[in-house]
This record gives sequence, structure tokens and C-alpha cells, in this order.
Amino acid sequence: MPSNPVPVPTKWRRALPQAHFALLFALCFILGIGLVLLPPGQKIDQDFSRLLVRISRTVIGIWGGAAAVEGAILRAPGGFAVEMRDGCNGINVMVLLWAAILAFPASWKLKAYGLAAGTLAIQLLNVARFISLFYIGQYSAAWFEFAHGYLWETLLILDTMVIFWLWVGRVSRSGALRHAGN
Amino acid sequence: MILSTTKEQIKTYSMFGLTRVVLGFMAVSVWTGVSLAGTISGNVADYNAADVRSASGVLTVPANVAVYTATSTITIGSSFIVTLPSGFTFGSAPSLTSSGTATFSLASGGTGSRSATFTVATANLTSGQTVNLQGFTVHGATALGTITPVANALPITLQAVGTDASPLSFPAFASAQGATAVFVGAIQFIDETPPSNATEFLASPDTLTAVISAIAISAQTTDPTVGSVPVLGSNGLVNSISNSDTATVTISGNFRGIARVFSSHVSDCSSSINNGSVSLGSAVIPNVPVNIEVFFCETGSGAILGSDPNGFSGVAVSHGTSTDFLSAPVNVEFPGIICYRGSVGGCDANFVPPPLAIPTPALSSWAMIGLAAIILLFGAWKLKATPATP
Repeated sequence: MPSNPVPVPTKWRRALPQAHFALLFALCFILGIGLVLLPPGQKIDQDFSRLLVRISRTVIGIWGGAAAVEGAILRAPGGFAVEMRDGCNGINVMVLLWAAILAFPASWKLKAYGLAAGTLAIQLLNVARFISLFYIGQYSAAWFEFAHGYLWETLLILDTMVIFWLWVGRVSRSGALRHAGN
Repeated sequence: MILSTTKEQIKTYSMFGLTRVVLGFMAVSVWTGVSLAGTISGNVADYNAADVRSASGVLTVPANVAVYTATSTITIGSSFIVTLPSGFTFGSAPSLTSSGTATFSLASGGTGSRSATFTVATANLTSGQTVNLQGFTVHGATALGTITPVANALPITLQAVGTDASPLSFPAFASAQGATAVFVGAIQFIDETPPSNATEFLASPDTLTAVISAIAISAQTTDPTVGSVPVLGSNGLVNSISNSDTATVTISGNFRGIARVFSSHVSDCSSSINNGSVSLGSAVIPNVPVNIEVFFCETGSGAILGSDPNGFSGVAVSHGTSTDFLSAPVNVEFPGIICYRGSVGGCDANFVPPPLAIPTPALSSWAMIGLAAIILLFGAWKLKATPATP
């Protein structure tokens, strides 16, 4: 005897893709942060911080500046130094963006494109932020606090939002979204 | 008449004189503390406070916690009252013995009561003889679950009714931390010469990891303030702690440039027991084994290391997850020396490290939460706004 499928109200059916996105986003984010907090993740996190500091030093050198690297610390000849600790290297922001891109209904090709472009955009901005704080801190402690606590925080939030917005627009234009939304 | 008057006067004067003598003696007795009552002494029962908690205040009290010495004859039939501290009750029937032939029978109180009344039997208790309180158990000694120094020990009282005007008190019940620790700091040099530039410890070759101290945590067997008083377990025997117990050790000092602290069974830090957490001013190492020597090691982050030329400023031991002890007073035999060293031997007091680096977090926690919410809402809105294909 065939069973009658339980009819799902149209309103609920329409909300399914949104609920699917929200749940998958939360899951991916928690999983990503969890992986970062595990010992191997912490090792990668620290190594990544040191890599960014070395990149920053190289960039400063290219522009004729001087800085010394001590582990994850960038030190000016005058003694002032900024440190890239956990949370300074933008990995948390990257995990957030990755979770959103992975959770959003799109083709894997577009997701790969979003992950690569998003990571690059966030890290370019983060290195710019780190270098600017390195110089601002040598100039003024008050400006350093403002730039660190307000300016760059806002810019990073805007940067991540704009990346996601542009990527979603790209997905939308490609037509993948409508298929996935079913 | 005259004679009669004289006799009356003499009688009056004599009466007056006797009163003066009695009053004078009483005054001197009160002033000097001399009395005809007995004296009390004893041996402090000093318990491991953590063990008292584990045993819910049920303790075995060893014999001779209180000893009464008679200074006058106490006759057969006299009563003798033993009273425990407030909240304590006898868990077993107490008994008294004497150094003479006198015996004591329990007349009232005892098990379940705070006090016990005995009757002197067999023979009188004569001056100089002692009365010893034999071993017994107590219930309700939960007050000793909080550390009670010997100086503030809870009193037991003994009173020979009719002889002692008031109960004689002896501070008999104390409690201590339960464990003790010996700490020895290491001598380490931070190599200020290139290529280390004060980011590594001096060795051949220089190294990021170095041993900074050793500690031995063991059961407290004597009181930390009165060394002659033994520390007991709740069973009345010498205190002990299990080999499976662990402690949390906090070391205060300059941990600048240190990325990791850990405990190790070996002084070369080649293996690790447990990782700790480290901040600029302190290192906390949990799960430190007891009853064995343990070494503490630290690993630099590659940044400039901080020095402690006068040694670590403090060491504290707490019980961690163990319940066998509350904490451990630490005997710092040597606080250690960690100092900068140049091309010549000894500490270089002239080396001044550059200022500390300022951490630069990308986003605060609240900003992360806000950003996550915005992305979530935007994604959901976009999905809603885009019509699904039939």
C-alpha cells in the first residue's frame, strides 16, 4: 500500500533554502573555529602569523622601510613593535567568510573561486592593516588606538561583507542560485 | 571587764587578720594564676583539611590528645567531664586512664554527645598523677575542613568537678593544607649576542626551550608553622596523598617572549607531561604529578625573552582536580636566575630589552558576532529574494 507523502505548506517550503543556509553556515563556522583551536590548527595558526609578519617586513623593505622580525613580532629600529597573535592574522574572519561561501547554494567551481578570492582580499587588507598599525604606532599611541580599535575593524567588516555581497551577486548572475534554491 | 574587753578585741583582731590572710591569698592566687586545680596539656591533633572534608568530619583522634595532671587528691566518686569543641560529638565511647591505680567509668554522655562524664573508681587520684584521654572517633568535625592553624586550634576541655572551678582548656584540634612542596629555580642565560639577539637561551647551539625549575610535591607530615606537630589523615595515622593526585602550580615572574610552558619528568625537557598556560606575568601548569620530582620548562616564541635576574617572584601550589589536599606551602630553596648574557660570563645587567610588542587583533569578539549576523541575514535575504525555479 503506497504511503501518502505529508504535504509541506508552501510557506515552509519557501523558507527551506534559508534555513538550510543558516544551519550549514553555523555548522561550518563552528567546525572551522574548532579546527583552528585544535593543536594542529594552532600550529598552523602560529606559522601563518609568522608568515604574514615576514611578508609585512618584505613589503616594508620593498618600500624602503626598516623592520626586524622576532617570531610573530615586527619591530621598528626605535624599539616599537607590533605582534600578530591569535586572532590578529585574520583567520577567524576567513573562517567566517569560508563558512558563508560553503553554506550558500552555488556550484563548487564558484565556491572555490569565492574562497580563493575572499582569502586573498582579506589577507591583503590584513597585511595593509598590520603595516599601517606598525607605522601609526610609532607616530602616535592615540592614533594607534583609534586605527586599531575602530578604523581597521570597520574596514575589515566592510571588506568581508563586500566580498560576500560581490560573490553572491556573481552566483546569482550565473543562474546557479535558482537551481540550488529548489 | 578590761580582760573581757581585751579578749573581745583580740578575737576581733584575730578574725580580721584571718580574713585579710584569706582575701590576700585569693588576690595573690588570682593575680598569679596559681590555684588548687589540675593542669592540662596534650598533643595537638593536626589533620589534613582536605581529608577532613572527604571524611565529612568523621575523624579518628589518637590517644593523649589531652592529659590532665592532678595537683590535689581527687577522691573516688568524683566526676570528670571531657568536652569537645563546638559541633563535635563522640563517634565512639571515650575512655580515661590514669598513671596511678584510679580507674574511670563512663557515667553519662559519650557517643553522640559533645561531652562525656566519668566517675573516679577503684582508688583516689593523687597529686601528680595524670589522666590520659584514650583514642576515640569524632563526628561533626567539619570546621577542620577549613585550615585551622595550630595557634588557633579548637579546644578540648577537662574538668574535675569539685576541684577545678571551671573546665581546663587545651587547644587540641587543628588542620593544615595536606601537602607540601619544595621548589628549586634554575639558572638560565638568555643569549644577547647575534644571531639569537636575546630570543633564545644560551646553549650549544642556542635553544628556544629551557628548564626553569623543579618541584617536588608530597604529603604534609608536619605542621608548616609548628614543625613538631605531625599532620594526620582522617584515620588518625600519618597523612599521605595518592600517587595519582595532581596539583596546579602557578609561577609568578617575567614570561615575556614565552609561547609555551610545560611540565616534564626530565630536566632536559625532551618529553612533556602536560602543557600549561602562560601570560606576561605568570605561568600556570596544571596536572603536575605528586610524590615525584617534576621539571618545568618553557619555550620562547622567537621574540625577545624576559629576564628574572632575582628569580621567580612567587610560586603557589593548589589542589587542581585532586581532593587529597587543599594546597601546599612552598619552600623555595632557590628562586632561580634567568638573565641576559653577552660575550663575557655572568649576567649582563646593562642589557635593556626593547619595549614589548603590542598585539593587534583583527576583529573583537563582538565585531565577529556582528559580522556573522550580517552575513547570515544577507545570505538569507538573498535566498528569499531570488525566486526558485519551478
